[in-house]
Amino acid sequence: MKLTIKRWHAVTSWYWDILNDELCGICRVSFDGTCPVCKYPGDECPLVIGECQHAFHMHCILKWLETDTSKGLCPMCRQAFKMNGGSDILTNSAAENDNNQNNNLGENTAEIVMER
Amino acid sequence: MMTLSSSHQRPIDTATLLNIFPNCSIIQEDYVPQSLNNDLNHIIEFINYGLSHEIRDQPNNRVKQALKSLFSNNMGGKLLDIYIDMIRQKVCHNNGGDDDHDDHDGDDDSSSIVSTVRTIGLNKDKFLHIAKQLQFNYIQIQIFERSCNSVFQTIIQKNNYLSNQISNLFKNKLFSKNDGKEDLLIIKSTLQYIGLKQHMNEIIINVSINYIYNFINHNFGSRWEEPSMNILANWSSSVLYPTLTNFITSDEFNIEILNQLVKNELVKLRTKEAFDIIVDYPDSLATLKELKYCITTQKQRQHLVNTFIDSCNKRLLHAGANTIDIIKCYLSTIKSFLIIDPRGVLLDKVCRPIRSYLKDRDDTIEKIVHGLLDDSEDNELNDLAQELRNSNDYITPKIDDLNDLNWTPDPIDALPDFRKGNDLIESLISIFDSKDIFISEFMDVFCSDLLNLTDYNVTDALLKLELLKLRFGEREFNSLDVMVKDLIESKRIDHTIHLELDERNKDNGIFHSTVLSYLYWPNGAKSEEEFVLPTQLNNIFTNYCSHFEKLKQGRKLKLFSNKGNVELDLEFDDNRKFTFNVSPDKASIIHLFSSKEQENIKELSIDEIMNELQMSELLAKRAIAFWIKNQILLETKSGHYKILNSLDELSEKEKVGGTINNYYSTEVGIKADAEEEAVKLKYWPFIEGMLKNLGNMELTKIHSFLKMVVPKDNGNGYNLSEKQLKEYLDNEVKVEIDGNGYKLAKR
Repeated sequence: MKLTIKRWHAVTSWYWDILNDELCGICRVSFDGTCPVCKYPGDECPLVIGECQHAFHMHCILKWLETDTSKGLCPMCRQAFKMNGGSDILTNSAAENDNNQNNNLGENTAEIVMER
Repeated sequence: MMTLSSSHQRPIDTATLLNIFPNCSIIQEDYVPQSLNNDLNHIIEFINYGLSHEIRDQPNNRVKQALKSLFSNNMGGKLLDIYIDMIRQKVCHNNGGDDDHDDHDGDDDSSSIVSTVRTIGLNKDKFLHIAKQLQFNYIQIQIFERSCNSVFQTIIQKNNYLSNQISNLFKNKLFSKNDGKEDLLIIKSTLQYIGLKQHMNEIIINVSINYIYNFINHNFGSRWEEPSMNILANWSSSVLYPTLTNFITSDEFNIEILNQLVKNELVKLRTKEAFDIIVDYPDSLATLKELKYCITTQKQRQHLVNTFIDSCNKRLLHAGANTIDIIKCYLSTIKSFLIIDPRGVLLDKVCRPIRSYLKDRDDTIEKIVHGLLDDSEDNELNDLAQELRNSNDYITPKIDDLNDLNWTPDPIDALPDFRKGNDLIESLISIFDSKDIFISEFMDVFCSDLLNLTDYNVTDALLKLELLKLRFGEREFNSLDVMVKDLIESKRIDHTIHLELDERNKDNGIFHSTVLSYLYWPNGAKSEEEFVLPTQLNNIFTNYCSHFEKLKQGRKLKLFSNKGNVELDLEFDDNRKFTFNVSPDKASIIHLFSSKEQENIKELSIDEIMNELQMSELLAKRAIAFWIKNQILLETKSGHYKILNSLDELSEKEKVGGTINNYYSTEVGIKADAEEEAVKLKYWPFIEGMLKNLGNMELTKIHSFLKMVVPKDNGNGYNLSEKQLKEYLDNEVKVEIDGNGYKLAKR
């Protein structure tokens, strides 16, 4: 018998490959969901991992860092919150998807964070 | 005692009175002197003669003289009283005799009635004649005639037999084409003559109403396609009216009133038929429009509502009716009653029982949702789908009454919580208090629709989604938005990945994927029946995965091994060729067989398959049964299978289609296994708890407890028969039989 598979349409789901946690420490929503503001998960509501290895929804941590009380610290471990080197998720995924406007926005905001 | 009672019965005459009250002046005045008494006797004699003989003699001189002296003594009034008394006695006496006679004279009804009535007329003539001879003045004659009429009226009205006979006679003859209406005319004029004009009219009207109803029923009953009012109006003016004008003498009677009568009867008939008319919508459109124009009074409306609700309860709102039929009927009710009463008041009243019934049905929402979304021809609620498609001009109802310049108060006869429901979908949705149930049902439908897509084409789904948003409001559809967007995104990802893949390995080109944001799909798009793919297939997936990870940094893919579908070709040595479109589990099994064949392993046991693919027995058996049914696999011995490379390997018996039947039954068996599994999962905790707490329990008791206790949501309620339960309990190891009942087995 000769078997030829012509087409295989599978159903898969994506998930953020985060080791430690499942929920964003700020909004307590799963990383695979969105921050309270966003509607669509994934590209439109990306994650940020700090040097301290704590991950958050990008929008959540940005909002936190904008508040005065934050003093630029990670809300989980109280160390200064820095992006995890140059290889953070955000910038890379933004580079891959030029046509996604949101990612352009993400890139800009990421720079702001870096400046702080 | 005797004397007392007898004197009581005897009329008291003046002489007796004078004996008792000798000096009473009032009686003195009334005292009739001998000569006058004599005169009176003469006159009475004359009257008696006149009453008992047909010949009408002139009064002789003696009588004339007597009259003269009486009147000159102002005794006219007394004479009148006496005369009336005499007539009363005579008529009542005669009539008493007639009663017996009538009872056994049923053969020649009409003539006997006519003669009875005619006699009454003649008698009145005679009495009047005598009265005139007695030289009463005009007023006295009037008084006499009135008393005379009342005597006859009592005879006719109090005598049920007679009045029934009269109405029967009219019923039979009034509208018959044969002649014989002379009789009726005689009766009519006589009754009028004795002052029963009103009574006569009533009889005729009643008879006519009956006749009209029968006519309408006969000609238009159960015919709703065409308007009937024109024909009826014609009929009433050309047939009814001419007949009736001869009989009804009233200033108030005219053609308009007659038409109103006809309309009323039409309404009566349609009210009776209301339920069928509405079921028949839109064929009964003409009738409904007519009904709107014919129904005029509040009483008719109320009656229509009550009758319709009654027949709904009797014919529709019970367990025997299909939910779809009820919804259909509900929709036609809305449309029909809005025609009859555009204000929506009647509709509001009529809808309530149907709505509350639909609310209690388990599958209402499911049926509505499918009706809304399925735009294929065989959708029984196609109306709903059409309606949804036409909802572009749908305006969300304004909530703010204060700023609405076109606000009008509710109609005066509306119920307190009146709501006008013009929109079909809106009124279906509003049956349920919360929209959430609809949304989750929508999600289920969209989920299965979208997961079955292999070409990422979401145009249709998007359109439906937009239409639904118009109805339910934007906010409710967050998850559905994400679901549709996942599909669009998947298409882009797939496209990008395939641009890179094509250059290297053609084998990878077969793989496409729908990538879900699992949190947003119903039940997290979980499938319980996961398994491990054969290595070759898994490699294709991991290859795709690695490209995805490059494309979307930080994210990974997880495969739902049992979702999606595989298109594959099978080619055999004996030139059989097949193309199948199957689920991944079936593809994996056949793939396993084909790769083992290359390693020269011809036969696989069920255990080996389960082991290799980490598949549940149920899933594996089901897939194998599918392949056996299609004559791809063959069961060599129990639980061992091999590829059927040539049809020659089939025994004669199996070739004739035995195979299919055989394995079809296997499949049924597997299903039954699955059900049993489900039963164990679902009911066991309840049974265990029961037996733990209550010790020994009888079968019937367990059965009724389960019925009560097991939650009914999502159609998962307890649905075993008592026999099934017994079978299950008898086979359950953890339970043992104890006397009449069951108890938990001791470990």
